[in-house]
Amino acid sequence: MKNESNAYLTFALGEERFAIPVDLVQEVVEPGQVTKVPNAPDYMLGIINLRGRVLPLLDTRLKLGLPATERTQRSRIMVLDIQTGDDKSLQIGAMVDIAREVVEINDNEIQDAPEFENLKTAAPITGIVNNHGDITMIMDITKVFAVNEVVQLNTSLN
Amino acid sequence: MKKTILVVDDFASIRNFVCETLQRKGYDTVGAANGNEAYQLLSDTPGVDLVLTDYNMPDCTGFELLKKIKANPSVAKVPVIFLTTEGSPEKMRTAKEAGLTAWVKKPYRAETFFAQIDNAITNG
Amino acid sequence: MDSNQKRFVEDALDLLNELDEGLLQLEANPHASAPLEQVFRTMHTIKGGANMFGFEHIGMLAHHLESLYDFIRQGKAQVNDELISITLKSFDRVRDLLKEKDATNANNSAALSEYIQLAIDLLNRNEGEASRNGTSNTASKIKKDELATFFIRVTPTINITADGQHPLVFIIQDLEALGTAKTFFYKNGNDKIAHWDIFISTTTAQTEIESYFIFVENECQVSYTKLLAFDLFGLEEFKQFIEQFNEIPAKIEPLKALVEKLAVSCIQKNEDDLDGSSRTNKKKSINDTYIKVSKRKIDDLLNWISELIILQSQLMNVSTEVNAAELTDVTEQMEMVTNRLRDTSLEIGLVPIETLVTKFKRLVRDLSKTLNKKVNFISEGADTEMDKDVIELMAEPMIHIIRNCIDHGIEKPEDRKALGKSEHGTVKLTAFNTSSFVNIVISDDGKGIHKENVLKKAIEKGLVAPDAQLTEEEILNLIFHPGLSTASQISDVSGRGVGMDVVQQKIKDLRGYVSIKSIPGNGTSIHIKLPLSRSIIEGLLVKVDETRYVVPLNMVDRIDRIAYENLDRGNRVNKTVIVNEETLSVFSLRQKFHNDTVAPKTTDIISVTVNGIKKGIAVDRIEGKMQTVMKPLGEAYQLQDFIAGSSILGDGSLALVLDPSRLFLLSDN
Repeated sequence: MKNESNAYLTFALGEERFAIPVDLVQEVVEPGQVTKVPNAPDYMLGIINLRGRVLPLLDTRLKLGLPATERTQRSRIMVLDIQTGDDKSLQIGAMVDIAREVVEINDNEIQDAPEFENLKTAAPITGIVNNHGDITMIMDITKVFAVNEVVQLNTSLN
Repeated sequence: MKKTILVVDDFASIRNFVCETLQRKGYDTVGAANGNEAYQLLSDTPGVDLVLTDYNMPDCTGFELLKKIKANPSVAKVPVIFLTTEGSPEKMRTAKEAGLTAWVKKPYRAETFFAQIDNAITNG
Repeated sequence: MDSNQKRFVEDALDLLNELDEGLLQLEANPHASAPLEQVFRTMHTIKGGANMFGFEHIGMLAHHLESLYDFIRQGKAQVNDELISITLKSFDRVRDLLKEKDATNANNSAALSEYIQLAIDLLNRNEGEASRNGTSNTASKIKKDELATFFIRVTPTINITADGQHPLVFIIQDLEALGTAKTFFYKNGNDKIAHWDIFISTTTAQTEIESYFIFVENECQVSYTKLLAFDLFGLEEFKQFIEQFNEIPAKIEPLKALVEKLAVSCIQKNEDDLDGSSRTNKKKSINDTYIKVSKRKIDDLLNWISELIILQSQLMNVSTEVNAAELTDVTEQMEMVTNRLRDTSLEIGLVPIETLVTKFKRLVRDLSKTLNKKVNFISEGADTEMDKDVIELMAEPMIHIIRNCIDHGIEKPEDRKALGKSEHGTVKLTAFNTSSFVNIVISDDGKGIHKENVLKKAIEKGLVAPDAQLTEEEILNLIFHPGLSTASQISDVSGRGVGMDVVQQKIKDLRGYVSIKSIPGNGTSIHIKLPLSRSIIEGLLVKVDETRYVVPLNMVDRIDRIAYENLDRGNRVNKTVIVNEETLSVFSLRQKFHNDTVAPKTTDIISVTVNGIKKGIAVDRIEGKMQTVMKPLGEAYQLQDFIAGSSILGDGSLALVLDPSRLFLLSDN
């Protein structure tokens, strides 16, 4: 994954800290009213109105096989713009526990990802940053929300 | 001083609508449902400044009303405007020759309508 | 509806009763003049009011019928049963529309189109008879004159300023509204108007244009020059010329020279335009003037109108809360204007499917030659209008269907002869509107689909279990399955069954439906049904638990409130319920989707007709009728296809727009 600016948005899912290239993130908003669409998988939380745009809202934790996000004061929606084809992209809202801040991470700070035993998920981790034992995992979020995967999961439910 | 307009139309909702529109523009209005009624009103009520009438009406049409008004010297000076969906050039020509001041086609454009009324009242 | 419209509706309903009486009297005494005059006058009054208060379709219907009765008044036609019954039926329909809760529905273009067409047909026939009988053709006043471009110079003989209030200023504006126009005015030294120069291309006849000035002829002189019987505004050269017209102080000679030059190319162009297109198109191009607008501008316009509709509903909410008479008034008027704007803007993007038909004619001719078959192609309803984008998206799938008709459907001439059929096969395209759908039926009179072969192949390919019991419809629907082709030989034309699945997908993407019928030996017909508008719908807003749904209004037949326990009896999810003494198969949104909260005491049953069958949708409560812009849910929710989209409500929350047909598929499975 190429990230020319080296800027990453960090966010938390439970105790774990993750980072994704900031280029993929259009904005971070506080959750408002969510309208549930019936007959959809649990991780598809529903749709939201983002200033006149209708976006699907997905629960990142559920999608990764973790227990569902509990909505708190610190819950945030990352509005992502994921490329799905040559000139097609999918806009989604991804619910996370805390969206923290934008940080600069140089390529040489990123280490290869070891096998994670503790994280019971299929999260695609491309690398980690170890800042004195404070670990941030770089996630390939386009894989998490790849449209064919979303649709496939959706199919298996039906 | 407020000008008074006699509005003649057999269709009550149009008559009321036109009256209300004119009242909002600062005119006083009197309504009549056909030519005979209008002519009676005009003869009895002094101070009508303009007659605004439909063309096709039962009993006495707008054209018959126009002829009656123009034939009676005491009211002949009151300008008459037709407000109608009718629009045949021949009828318009005949009406003009009978002394009609203006012909406004329904549905009308508000600006044209008011300009015609204003002009008719001011210049006869 | 504003208060004036409401009053009009009341008055009009009274008039309709008078009209009925008059018509019945006239029917009994076809030669009596009193009832004839009454009928004529009443219709005239209805027409005037309808046009005045924004019921244009009623106005149009009344206008055509009035013209028919005017014929009779002039002794050029006779009262007959057909005329009386068409008139009665037409105004019955008008009465029904006006009695609806929102009488402005009468302005849906489909609401009266059938009757308007009947009246026009009758009028055309009468007109034909009148001219055959040698009587002077008075019907010409309802026939629009041909499109022409005029140059009109208006020279006031009194002092007028351009921003003044003299009627002449407004008459010129009214005149401009008759077509495409460009006006220049020239001032005297003292800021008074010297003259106006107006270029206008219009279908209005010169005599009618002249009539605009009858009542101001003492105040101005008007000269008319008919430049050409053509819309010169369609020509770049002309537009450039008039752009500079006021710079070369208004010389008429160079203008005439240019027009002469352009005339030659225009006539050529005109012929090209008309070549190969049907009569209806010709009629249209004569009655209308056209301007070319970029697609992007139209899309922008439509987007803004969508936003406007959302804001309008927000305004409506605020106005209801504030509850101030003045605000309510303005809001209601705004709503009317917004609705009109929406309807007009929707029509902007619509074009007749004519262009497709031309394409298909060519395809049929070429293909039948390649395949040594004899095929006629006929079309009906080519003036049916559709969204331009949809036409483009549908071209490919329809071509595919027509190919199949010729390749697999129509037999070789010798086979047809042997079967006792005409050597020429026929492929027919029929297009028509029903409520908010455009219907396209493509049919052939070929050999039909061999159902046993389809089934055999499907079993061979493992698409269907060998012992499966399929209905005829299910078997026919197998041809939409990817990778199934019944052609015993692969031909260059139709390929290998790649396609019918794509055809179906494309139609589904457009929220449309496709169904197929086939009779062995008689042919096949494929019926495509597409929604007229892709984004704006009218619906019932309903609530189930905390979720709001929208049920498209065009499918709703009636609404009943019943006790919830009636629905709950037996605790089955999908069952029949007796509603209004009828047994209805009901889909309960609560029981299917929101079963985890406490049910209310009553439930509202919305009766809808789905594929000709009456069904019910049970909701907690109906909140009202609304017009809304539908936004797609996007790819992520493509499997929840019983939700056609979502729409933003006045308070910013979202409602889910249901697709009832697909909703019931859910319960069938």
